[in-house]
Amino acid sequence: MSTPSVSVNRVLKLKSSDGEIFEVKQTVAVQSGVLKQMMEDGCTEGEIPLNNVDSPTLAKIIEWCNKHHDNDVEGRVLSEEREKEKEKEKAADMKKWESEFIDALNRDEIYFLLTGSNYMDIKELLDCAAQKVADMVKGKTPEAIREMFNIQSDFTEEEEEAIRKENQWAFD
Amino acid sequence: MEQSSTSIRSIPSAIILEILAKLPLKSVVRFRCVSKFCNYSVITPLFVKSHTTHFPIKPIGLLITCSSRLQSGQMFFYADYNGGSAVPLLIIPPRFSRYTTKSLNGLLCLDFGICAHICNPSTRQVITLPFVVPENSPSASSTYFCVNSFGFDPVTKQHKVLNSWKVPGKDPEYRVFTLGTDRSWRLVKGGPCYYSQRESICIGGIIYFRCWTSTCKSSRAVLVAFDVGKETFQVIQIPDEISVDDKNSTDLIAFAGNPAIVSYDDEDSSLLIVWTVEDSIWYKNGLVMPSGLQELQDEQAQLYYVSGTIQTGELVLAPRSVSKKQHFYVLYFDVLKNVIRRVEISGLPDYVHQFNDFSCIDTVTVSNFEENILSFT
Repeated sequence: MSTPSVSVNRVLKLKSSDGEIFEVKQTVAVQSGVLKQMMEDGCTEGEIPLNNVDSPTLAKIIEWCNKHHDNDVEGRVLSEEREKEKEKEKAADMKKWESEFIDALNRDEIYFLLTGSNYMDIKELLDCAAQKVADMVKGKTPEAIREMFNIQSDFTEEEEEAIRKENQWAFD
Repeated sequence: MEQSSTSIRSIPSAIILEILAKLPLKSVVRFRCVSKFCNYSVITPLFVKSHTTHFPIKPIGLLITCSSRLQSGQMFFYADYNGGSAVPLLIIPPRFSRYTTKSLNGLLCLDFGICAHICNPSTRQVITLPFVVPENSPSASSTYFCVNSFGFDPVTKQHKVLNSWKVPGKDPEYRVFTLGTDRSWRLVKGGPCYYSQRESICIGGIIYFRCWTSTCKSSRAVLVAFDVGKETFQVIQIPDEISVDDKNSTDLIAFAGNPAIVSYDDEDSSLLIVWTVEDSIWYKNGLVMPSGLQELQDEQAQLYYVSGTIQTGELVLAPRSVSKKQHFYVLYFDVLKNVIRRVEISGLPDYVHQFNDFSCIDTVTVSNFEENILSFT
């Protein structure tokens, strides 16, 4: 995973949309596809502006990446000799941590986390946040979904009636 | 609802699709009613692929089909492998098909001769394929040997329908219709000069079906293998030993990953003979069931047949008809452990047999039910 330009001790300076600076180890930052690419291209000098991510969200994203980085490093050592059970336990712990992390957020925070992780290309975090929203959407009516996602219906009355009728079974 | 009513601001559509891909099928279908964008997005191949990574297509229960009252349509039900009450899925008019293929990735082909329906019971979608020839053309009057079989090519991920049509005195014609691509049937060359039987099964990108070599009494049966991807034919001889004279005496199934013909012993009802074929070589497996099929058939006053296998490898035995008088049982035969278990399914229609002229009024077939989000456009 490591590339020649990534060193353990070097840090990146990330600047949130509201101007706050966050320092992140390069080895942590590689979880972001965008930052990884920038490191490989050697253009991480100075502050890296992240115009789509505000400071509370960036703090959350970094918390996530730090946690997953720790896990990764330890995981690699463990997987050499230790028993599979330890691994499993670890995975379960991580799952628990992830769900507590995501459950503590309100809708708007999840929204910012979704767009932030999408922007920074952090697949695992995006998946986790998307799963949380999917769980919130499950079983909701189209009206409630529109409200949640701020989507305007563009069906005419007739079209809406037709598509509802066609898919009526899913509402029973 | 402790949360404020502030809604999540407009989420980029790419993220909405990420979220959608993690929703079970029923929720995705509800989502279709949200907006035109949502309705369109979930039928794109890209979305189907992404959804399938979260929800792989796999058998989740039994799919049971029978005729509706007065034969005005074909009804489909879902039932748990462990039995219980059957859930009605949909009814497809206008009548019971001549043959309905076994579930192929959750999809079915209903054979009506020059017309075929493709149905996805999980989304309740049904499409009608174009007529093989115009309805008023002279050949449309002789469709007894006009047969539709259904296949899937795992390489290109395409579903295709093969139409085999032999009018006595003329050369047979074979046509292919690729779902989602073709707008009309394409003639394919190289098919054998035989009369196709309706029963077919697709395994590993090959459609297998049996053919009569002629319409005479002395006719033999052969097994034809159609490669769905390459669109080529291969003829496999069937040993004389496999009885072919009575249509109820054999069934074509998939067994341990190969096509197999099941034949039943008239003398000994506890004996099932499963003929499997691999690389054109036939293997005979005699399976003795722990309790006589005959006893059960006598008790139930109906015939049971082997309808296929389920994921556990067990053979599925089901009645050939629904009956007002009897409970509907499905049997699973574990060949290795030599154990039969039986489950009861309730909620299927029961008919008084007033219309005996219509041979399929009380016919029932049992197959695997696999959930697939695929939509046809």
